[in-house]
Amino acid sequence: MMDQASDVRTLALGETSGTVPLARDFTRTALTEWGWLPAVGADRRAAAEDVLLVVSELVTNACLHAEGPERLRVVRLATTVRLEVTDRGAGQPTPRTPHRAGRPGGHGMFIVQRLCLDWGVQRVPGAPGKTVWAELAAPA
Amino acid sequence: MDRQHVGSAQPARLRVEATTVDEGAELLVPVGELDHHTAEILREPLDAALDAGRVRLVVDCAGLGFCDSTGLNVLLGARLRAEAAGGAVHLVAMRPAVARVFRITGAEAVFTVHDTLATALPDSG
Repeated sequence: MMDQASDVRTLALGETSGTVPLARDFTRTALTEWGWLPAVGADRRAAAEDVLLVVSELVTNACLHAEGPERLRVVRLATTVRLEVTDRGAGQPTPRTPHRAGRPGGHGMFIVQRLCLDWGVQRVPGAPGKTVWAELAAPA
Repeated sequence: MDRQHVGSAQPARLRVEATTVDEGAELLVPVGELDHHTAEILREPLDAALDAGRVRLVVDCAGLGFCDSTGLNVLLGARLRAEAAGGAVHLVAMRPAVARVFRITGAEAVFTVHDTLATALPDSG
């Protein structure tokens, strides 16, 4: 998959405070340099904003449930954008079921699931932590 | 009466102005980005209004540029408390990116959503 990548951008997160807005800023810069922002038209704008929303959800999950994010990668592929958030946690992100719209909690991975073409978790055998990845359609 | 709630550790990505409308209603105007790092800046004035018995919470979202599930949780938490006390949370003038979060999750159905402040404030009926 990575051989399709036309641009890979990596942000070390580590101990920095304010990682969630930092990750959004980093991603917004990438989308701007790729010409996806500022967006022309409501659909393209929504597609770009969805990428920022998914980044926010993945990095927040790493902060809340996985001992903090270590690294964000934003990868431009032929027709998609791939987000990878590496953390130190052993847990498994799982959309909460049933999803209850009116109650706090369980919305983050629900949003990721709804907005992404696919998502998953990668682990390296024997190494701590994991990478949660998600792919969204690039703005057409 | 105006009160300012400003985050301290980081340059504030969110500012919330809270104004008491009458004995039962509070107007909150968050400006900026609502996420993991700023949620408390909105949660505190929401809880303060609820603690004081003001259970009609009107949130003017015109200046809210970003909201994710953490921000949604703050508003859903306030909504549970407000409704338990006979009130409600009214969301006003959401921008498309913010409205989308409420639409995707289905949470828009549990709030009263207004296009403008005129219909959300209590003296307008």
